[in-house]
Amino acid sequence: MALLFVAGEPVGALPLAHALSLTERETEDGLKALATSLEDGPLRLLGHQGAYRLVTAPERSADVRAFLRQEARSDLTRPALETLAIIAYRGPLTKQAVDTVRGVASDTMLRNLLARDLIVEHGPASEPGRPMSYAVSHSFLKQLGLTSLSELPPLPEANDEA
Amino acid sequence: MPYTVSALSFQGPLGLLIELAEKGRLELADISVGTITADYLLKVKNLGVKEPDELSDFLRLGSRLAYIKSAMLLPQSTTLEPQRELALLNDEMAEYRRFQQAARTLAARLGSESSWSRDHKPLLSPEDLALPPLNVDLLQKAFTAALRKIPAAIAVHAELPELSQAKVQENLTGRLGHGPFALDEVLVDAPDRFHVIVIFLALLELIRAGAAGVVQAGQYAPIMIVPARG
Repeated sequence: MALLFVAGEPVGALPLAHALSLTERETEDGLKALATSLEDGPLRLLGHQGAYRLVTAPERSADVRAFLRQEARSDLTRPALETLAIIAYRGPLTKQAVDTVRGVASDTMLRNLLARDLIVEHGPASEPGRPMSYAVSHSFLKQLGLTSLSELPPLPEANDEA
Repeated sequence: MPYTVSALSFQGPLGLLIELAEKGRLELADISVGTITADYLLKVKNLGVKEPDELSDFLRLGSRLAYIKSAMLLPQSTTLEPQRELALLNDEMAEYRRFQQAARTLAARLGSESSWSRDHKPLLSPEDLALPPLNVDLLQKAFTAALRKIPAAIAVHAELPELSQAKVQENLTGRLGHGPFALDEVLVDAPDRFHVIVIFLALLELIRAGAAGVVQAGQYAPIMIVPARG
């Protein structure tokens, strides 16, 4: 936990394993145990795409926000939110795949979300032309108060009414 | 604001019209795609500010409507392909609606139930930043920044431009007679670095002589050239 605290930004299991003279597997087991032990406290262990970081618990969001003098606001447009939702639930995805779901080109939305650090370039997809694929970022999980993508609310069923 | 269809048999958002048509709760044969398109184009023509998102939304929904309707108008018994296409379209629309709902959920949570980490970078507003007093050094930095934006001219011949510091001083003094103006307004007309340097020297001379002053209201606010006090 001390290493994660000083690291600040997301850190992989391997550098932690080297520092602690443990195997990567032992370190990952330790991280899982740490995540469990933190569950009722003011901190959480956020794990996404093999990197971990300590974050404050979402229940403390209002206090932290007041301390940092930040307002709760989301000024993303509806198309940007739709693009974000598609990548969150179906990602990593290429721009073409996002376009297919939305039925319109998503270039602007992707640039917008990248600029806001809500998505990241995940790497080239294994399809012809090796197009770039996109995944949600650590920042996205932080802004939603999630410790991993598995905590995303379930995708509504097709016949669910809003 | 999303486009609203106003037809005899349906009045409401275009997306809802397509949804009802897909569920078989609306007879598309009664809806004229041509009339909807003409009505929409008229609205777009009269719009002051055109939102690309809304325009693309109409194109997406409109093309689906045209496709569904053309498929429905085809003889049903000749082939199963349109039925299959329709089913596929329905699936795609249903999938898209799921993400629309998910997007609303994300919107409600984004920023309201956040976690924070040590590398959190506070968003500073201009008011949070202390404003240093504007002096000649800062003014010189502003001119240096302006110079960097203008590429160095390639000397083709040694003919000097018809510009003098005295002329620029005269011009600045004349403009000050009409009130304060932004430094950027003067610099934007400078065709090359030589002009920027002459403007800078002329302004310094006016300040030295007490004929002009420079002020800045806040961070990122324009540097204003103002008449001398008194």
